[in-house]
Amino acid sequence: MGSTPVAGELLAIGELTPGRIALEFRAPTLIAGLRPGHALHLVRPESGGYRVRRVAPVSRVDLIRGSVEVALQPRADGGQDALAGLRVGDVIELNGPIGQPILINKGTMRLLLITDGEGFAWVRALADAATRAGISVTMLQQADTAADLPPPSLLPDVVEIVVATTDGSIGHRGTVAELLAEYVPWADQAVVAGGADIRAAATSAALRRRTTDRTSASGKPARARTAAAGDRAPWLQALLSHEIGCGIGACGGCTVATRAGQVRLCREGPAIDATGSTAKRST
Amino acid sequence: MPPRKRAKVAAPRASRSAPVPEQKNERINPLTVDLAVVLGSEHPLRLERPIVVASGPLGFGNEAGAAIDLRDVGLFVVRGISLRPRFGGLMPRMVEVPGGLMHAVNRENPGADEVMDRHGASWRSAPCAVALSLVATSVKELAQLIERVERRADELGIAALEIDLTAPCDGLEGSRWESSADESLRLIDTARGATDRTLIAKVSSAASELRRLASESIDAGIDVLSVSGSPHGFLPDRARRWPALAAGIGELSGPLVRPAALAAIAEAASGAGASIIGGGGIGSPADALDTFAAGASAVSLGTALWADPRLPGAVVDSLRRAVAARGETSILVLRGSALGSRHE
Repeated sequence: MGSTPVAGELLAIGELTPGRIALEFRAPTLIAGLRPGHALHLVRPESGGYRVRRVAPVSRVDLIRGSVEVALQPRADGGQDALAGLRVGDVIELNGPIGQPILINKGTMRLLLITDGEGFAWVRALADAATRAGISVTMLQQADTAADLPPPSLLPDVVEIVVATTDGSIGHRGTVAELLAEYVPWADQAVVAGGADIRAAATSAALRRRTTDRTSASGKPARARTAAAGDRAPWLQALLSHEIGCGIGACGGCTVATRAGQVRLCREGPAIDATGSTAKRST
Repeated sequence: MPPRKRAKVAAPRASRSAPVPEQKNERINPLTVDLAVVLGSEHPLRLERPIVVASGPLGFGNEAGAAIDLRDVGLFVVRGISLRPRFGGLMPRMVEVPGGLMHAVNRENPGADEVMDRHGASWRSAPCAVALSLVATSVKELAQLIERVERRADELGIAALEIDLTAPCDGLEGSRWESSADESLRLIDTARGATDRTLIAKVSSAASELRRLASESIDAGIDVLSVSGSPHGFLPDRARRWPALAAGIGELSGPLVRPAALAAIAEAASGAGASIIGGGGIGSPADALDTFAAGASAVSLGTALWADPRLPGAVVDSLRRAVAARGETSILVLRGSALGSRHE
């Protein structure tokens, strides 16, 4: 609905993080318009012939193979996912792009990505694109244990990966919230994608940083921050995902309230100004 | 205030025994089948096709024309509007559940005036009839809302008004209007006193005293009963720490509601004076035919349109073929065809 559906042939099935399935589809006519932050709607008949449009974030685009990799989001009800039963060679309907790309300012040279197993798919394509553009990328990853982390091989070698695990099995024992104070001052921009906990932590860090900058501006600035002309992205963008919906901004199923007004994630999202949002429980 | 008594007008209805129409031998060209239906009698609404786009899934108007071909539709019901803006609540507002989906948008809208300002032009130019779905939490609020809408309804080409009885009622401590037939009839009566337009009352399969509501609503002033609203649902999230929806209780759509919806349609049809729009979980032309067979005069399509924007056209084709296969030329032959007893 909205965009013209494209037939996508399934080329490969993989796993981004344990239990998070990634599907690679051949869809050469679709990929030219895809950017980090976009999602696709996957349409496959469910039991009873009812078809829903499932939101799947674009986690990678391969221009040479003419393919796009999307990640399946777990259903809220934990139900059996018919899409997970697809086999290589199956063809389903793809609609997209859904949403707007993540905005990266021209002056940004250091990008901080904050994520967990839930949000990794949303920022993987951004890590690829940013490093290709010569931007230094650091990714803070949160997980309960080492086994829940995505393999480092899914990211470009030049991405600095900093890990926090609850059980301390790898990296920092604790949460990424405890690492933010170290990395926030370094970054020109940040993007957070994941559960409510890390979004709240990142938002608090962004608000503290804003206060620090104002304080500095009243005296001698601790560090020069000059925004390039045309820069319009906020320092911290939060990526909010939704599960299903119309995809044309009509149904109201993905609307969140921000200080700037209502944002329909399928049209104006999924990235929002994190410090201006009142959304609390988006998953 | 009790409902004002009106002279009963016998609306066209299916016979309870609804004998299977006699099969005729002559071949009918499906293209000659007349799909037009007239809903209601005192304030009739003519639909060129018995296909209704339900209030909600396709928004207020501007988005709908780009999403589906409205030429295949008889009536587009605009997403619910209220006197003042309503906020839809926190995310998640919509999740998938076994056999369908569950949503809690809380009838979010920016208020009647803004919706009319922003979307009115699309209603005027729509190739089908347009109805506004009205959301009010009290009788007084509905009266004010209708007054506001009526000022511009002719200019904007509004053919009918839908009273959403699945909306919460202040007088019932936030429960739905449809949970009390008395309150529902009181609301309908107020609406009828405020407009001469076709009035549609929307209920779900969970409506209380549906048969009574169906039979008495015509006296209160309703023309069409739309048995297409979503019943309530609840589901915990995966970790069972929260509800799956931020709002907690949501509304269900999809195949899981279809058998209950068909039962409600059949029940309403057996006691109705008003014409019936039937809906709930219709995802295919076969589902639409079932809904006619249960007693509906028109079918309401909802969330299935997201994945299948061509569904209205497919239903139209299917209806033409089904009528022609019976050797008839009018859609009326399909209505209530399954309501008879197997033992008659």
